[in-house]
Amino acid sequence: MDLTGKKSGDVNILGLTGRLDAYSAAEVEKKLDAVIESGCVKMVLNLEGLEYISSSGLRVFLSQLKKVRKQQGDIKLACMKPNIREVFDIAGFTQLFNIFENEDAANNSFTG
Amino acid sequence: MQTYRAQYRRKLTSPDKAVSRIKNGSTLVHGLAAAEPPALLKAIADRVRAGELKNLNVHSLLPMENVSKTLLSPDLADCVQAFSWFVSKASRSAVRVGLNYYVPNHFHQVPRLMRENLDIDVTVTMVSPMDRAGFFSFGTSNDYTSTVARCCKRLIVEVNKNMPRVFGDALLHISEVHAVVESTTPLIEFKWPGARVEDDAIGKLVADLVPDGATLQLGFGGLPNVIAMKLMNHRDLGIHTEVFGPAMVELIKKGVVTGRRKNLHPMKNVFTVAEGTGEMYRFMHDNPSMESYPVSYTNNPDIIARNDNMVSINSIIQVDLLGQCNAEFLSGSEYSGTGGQLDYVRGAYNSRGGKSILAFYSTARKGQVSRVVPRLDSGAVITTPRMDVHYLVTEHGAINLKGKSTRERALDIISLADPRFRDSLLREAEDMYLL
Repeated sequence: MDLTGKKSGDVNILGLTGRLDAYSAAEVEKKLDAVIESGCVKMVLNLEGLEYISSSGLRVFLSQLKKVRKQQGDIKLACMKPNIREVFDIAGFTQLFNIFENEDAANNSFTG
Repeated sequence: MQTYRAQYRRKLTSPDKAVSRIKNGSTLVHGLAAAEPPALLKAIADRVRAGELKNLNVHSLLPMENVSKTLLSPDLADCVQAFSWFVSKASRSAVRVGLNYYVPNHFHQVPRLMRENLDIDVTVTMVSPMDRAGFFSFGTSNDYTSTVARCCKRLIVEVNKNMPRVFGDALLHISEVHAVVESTTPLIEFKWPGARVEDDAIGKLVADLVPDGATLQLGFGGLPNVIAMKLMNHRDLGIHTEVFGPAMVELIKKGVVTGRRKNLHPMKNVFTVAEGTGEMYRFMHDNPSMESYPVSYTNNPDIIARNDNMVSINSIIQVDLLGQCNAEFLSGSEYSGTGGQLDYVRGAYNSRGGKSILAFYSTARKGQVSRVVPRLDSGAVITTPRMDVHYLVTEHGAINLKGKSTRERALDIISLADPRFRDSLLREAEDMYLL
C-alpha cells in the first residue's frame, strides 16, 4: 500500500495505491493520523490506484473522517474504481462520505 | 407486592442513565426481533456517537429496524464490532463486506454457545409490564434472551405495555434486573412477500402430507404462512414451533389447532419467538394457551421428537442432485442462517410418525434460475445434509428421500425441477455417474 501526498492550499491531496486491507490498515491509519496531527484537516483521497478495500480499510476511513470533522475539516474521496464504489455502496458508506469523479472536483468542493 | 413495587421504583430510570455504566470494550446482547428495545438501543448509540463509547461487541440474531437504525448504523462501524447469529435484511450488506460477522450455529445451541463463549457485560431486552408477584414476561423473545439475561453482568429491561405477557418458562423477576426503563413504542410488525402462483400447488402437496392430529413447526417466511392457510380443513393439529406467526393464530381461531393430541404440552401452543402483527401480539397477551420456552428446549431435537406425528415445514434456497440442501447462502455470502432448520428436521424425523418437509419454489429470478442444481454453488454451505433430508416439495411434486440410493435420489429430485431444466439436469446427473 503506497500513500503519496501533495498540497493544494490548505488541502492535502493523498493518493492511495494497492490494497487497503487488514495488513495495511494500521500503517495507513498512522500516516493519516500524522497528517491530521500536523494540522491539516482538509483532505482529498485520490483512490484511482486503490485496488481493494477490506472492512479494516473501511473502518480506517470512517474513523479518520470523524477525526477531521470534529475539527471542522473533511475527507473527500475521488476517482473510485467501480469495485471500490460497490463496496462503499453495500456498506452504506456512500451516505457518509462526499465522493467525486475526479481530484479537481473534490478539491474545489472545499472552496465552493 | 409493596416490596416488588418499591424495587421497581428504585430501579426505574431513564434510558440515558440506564446505559451510562456501559464501558468501552463491553460485550452486549440484545433481545431478538420484536423484543429489540428501541429506547435503550438509541441511548447506547447516542453514547457511541458522542464518542463516549467505543469497541463495543454487539450480538444480534435476526437484527431488525431498532438495532439497524442505532448500533448497526454504518456511521458506527468503526466503534461497533457486530455479530449476527442469523443474518437479516438489516445485517446482510454489512456481512457481505465484513463489517458484521455471521456466527454459525444450530439455534437450539445458541443459549449454551453464548453462555460458554461470550463474556457478556450487558443484556438489553424488552419485557411485558411487571405483575403483582414481581414478574415480567419475556413475551415475544424467550429464545437465548432468557439465558443471557441470567449470565450477563448487567441486565437492563425496557418495559412496554405492548409486549404480550405469555406463559410457560417465560418469566423474569424484578430482583434479577439491574435497571428498568419504560417505553410505549408499538412492537415491530412483520410482513411477508405477496402470494406467488406456485403457492397453491405447494400448499396442497404439503397439506396432504400432514395427518390430522399432527403437531406442527412452521418456519419463518412467506411460504410457511401460505402452507398454514392450506391446513384449514385439518383437525386437532398442535403447535410446537420455533417461530409463532400470524397464520397459526388463524388455525387456532378456526379450531383447526386444538393441541388435544399432543403428547407433550397438550392444549398448549409452544414457541420460543413470536414474529407477527399487532393483532397477533394482542391474541397472545395473557392467553394461557401460549407457552414460551428457551430455544434450548423448543428446538432440542429430543424434545421435538416427544410429540408423535411431529411435522416440521421449512424452506430452502437450493438443492443439489445428491440431496444436499442450502437454506442460507446466496451469491457467495451468508444470506440468512442455519437457524433451527436442522433442529426440526432431525427432531421431526425422530418423532413416531413424524415428517420433516423442506418446501421451496422450483425456480428463482422470475423462472430464469433453477433452484434444483447439479451441484451447490461454489463455496455454498449445506444447511441440511443429504442424510437428514426427508420430504422435499416444490410446485411439481413431493418426494421422500429416506432410504433412497443416489440414483433414485437424483431422479426424484429432478422430478421437482421446472420441466424446462430437467433435460440438462439429467445430462448433468449422467456426467456425475449418478444414473
